Amino acid sequence: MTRFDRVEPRLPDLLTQLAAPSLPDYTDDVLARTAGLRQRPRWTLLERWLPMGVLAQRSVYIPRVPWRTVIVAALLLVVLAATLAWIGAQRRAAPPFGLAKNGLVMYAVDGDLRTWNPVDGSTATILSGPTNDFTGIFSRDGTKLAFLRGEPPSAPSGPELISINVANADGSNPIDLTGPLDAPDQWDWSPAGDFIAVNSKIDGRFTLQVVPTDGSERPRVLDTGMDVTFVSWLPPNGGEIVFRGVGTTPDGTRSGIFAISPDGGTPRALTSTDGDRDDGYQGPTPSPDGKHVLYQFWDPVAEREHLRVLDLATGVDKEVGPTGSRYGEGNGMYSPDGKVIAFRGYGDGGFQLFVVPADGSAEPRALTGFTDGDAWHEFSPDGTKVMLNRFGAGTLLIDVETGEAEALPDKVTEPGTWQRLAP
Amino acid sequence: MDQRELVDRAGRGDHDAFAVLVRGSIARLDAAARLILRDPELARDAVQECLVRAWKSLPGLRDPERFDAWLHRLLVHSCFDLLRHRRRRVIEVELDPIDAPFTGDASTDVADRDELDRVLQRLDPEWRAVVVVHYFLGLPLPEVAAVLGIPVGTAKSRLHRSLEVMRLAYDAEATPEPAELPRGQLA
Repeated sequence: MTRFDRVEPRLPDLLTQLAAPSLPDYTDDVLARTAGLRQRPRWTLLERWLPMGVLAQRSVYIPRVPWRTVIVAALLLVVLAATLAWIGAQRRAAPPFGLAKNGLVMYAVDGDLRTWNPVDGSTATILSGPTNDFTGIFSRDGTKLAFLRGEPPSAPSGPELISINVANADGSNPIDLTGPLDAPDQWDWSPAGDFIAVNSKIDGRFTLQVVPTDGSERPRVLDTGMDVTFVSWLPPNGGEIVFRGVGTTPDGTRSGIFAISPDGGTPRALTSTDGDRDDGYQGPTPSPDGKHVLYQFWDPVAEREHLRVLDLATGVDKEVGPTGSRYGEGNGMYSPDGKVIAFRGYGDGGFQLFVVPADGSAEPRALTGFTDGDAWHEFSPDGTKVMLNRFGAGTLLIDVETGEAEALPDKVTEPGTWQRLAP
Repeated sequence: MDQRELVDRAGRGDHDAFAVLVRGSIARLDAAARLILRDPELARDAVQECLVRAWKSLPGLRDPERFDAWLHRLLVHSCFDLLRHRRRRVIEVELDPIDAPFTGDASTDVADRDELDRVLQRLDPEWRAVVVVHYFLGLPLPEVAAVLGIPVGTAKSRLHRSLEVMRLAYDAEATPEPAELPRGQLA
């Protein structure tokens, strides 16, 4: 046995002796210094659990089966019409991007998934039971839904585990796609609806994975070498997955926006890789045509958020807004046709919702007064409304033109999403 | 009031709650920074920077249960940032653990501790950080990797190689010339 064999098991004790932890004499100085510093306003932070999938889409018309005869018995006519209506209801699918018809709004209440019909105001529970189900998002064609299900931890002190499940849009035939994941953070349907991209923790790092939605395979890891957040498929074809990556550079740990093929390979940097590890290049959101990406960053000196739009072809990078809001702008979302951006202006005590033409042809226009607390917003599939979900404090559907709002009947605690239907 | 509630309140601007959190953590943060940086003044700067970042960014901490790990990460990166800004000037100051608790054979402990002090100085800060976070802060390797922002394999490799360097140094103690130790290598 060497001397070090005897020392190694005692390293924790020896290091403690060496460092002699004690309350340092500068403790009060540190506290005095922090007491004089303003915290970053909570409402300038991007929420997590962002359903990136239902944000921006375009439509085509799927023709219905024509009448083939006029000489049929009345009863047969009724049966045929009913059959066609049923088939239409089952198979009418919206295309992945562009304007679409508004379908149901889905949200979670106490571990169950519920829908609200904006046409007649009716609500329905589509998935209930002892499981804890939440944060559902419809596929881009509106025929399927994916949702999160809380799983029991593997150990009493272990992390909370969550699986991604897929069901028909009415909640029937749910299947577990992923098994337990550690802290899945963002996830997104591919344009064709055949895959979901998700990031979750593997060995303590947020790792990008893709999983087929037919349940045929478990998630496949895409090795980016980075900590991956804000995952979304790049429109219009989903040939790449866009994400925010944090990795080691010669200048330290930095962030940037990247794209990677769903088959893997080397990530492609869409931006410089000089962003702050925590606050740089946050919330990348591709436009519906895949030509631009919205993102934001926090300027700690000016103490304000900046919302930017990057032209992927030219590299031209422009500010969205500004609105004069005290803490800047962020949380940008494209309308389904990509013509309008809805975003927040952060002020003292909360945020204001604004809309602005994506081409910058007009000044930003406030849609709401100040509201506080955590929230989520997205456009309706037809682009006429913005759904503002103030978690636990009600959900508003705000008319983009008039600013008039109506409230959903349930108070919801997770982001609600809107089903797209073919027009 | 438990730590989760303290973190939640501090994240909502309650400085008294933050003070309680700081007083519960700062001794270990200061000790870890001194072990990594080998310089009490730099360690002080690193801890101050770490806590300033923590206070300003607390509203963004989603999981209060991860407060300690988050704070460790901020500390390690504050240490590395300081080293980077000072262009890795040579920092080798003996620590003076006069208040350290002793257990067992005091003379052996002192000898082993003094040798550890010398050996740590031979490690690059990145390697030292792995040793300190793993053995002093007591984090398992996956969490060490997360705190340092490196892959688990790299953390394992750095720890293994650090221990080999330390083994060489301890075993070479009786020889007149110190063993040639790798510096500046990263796993």
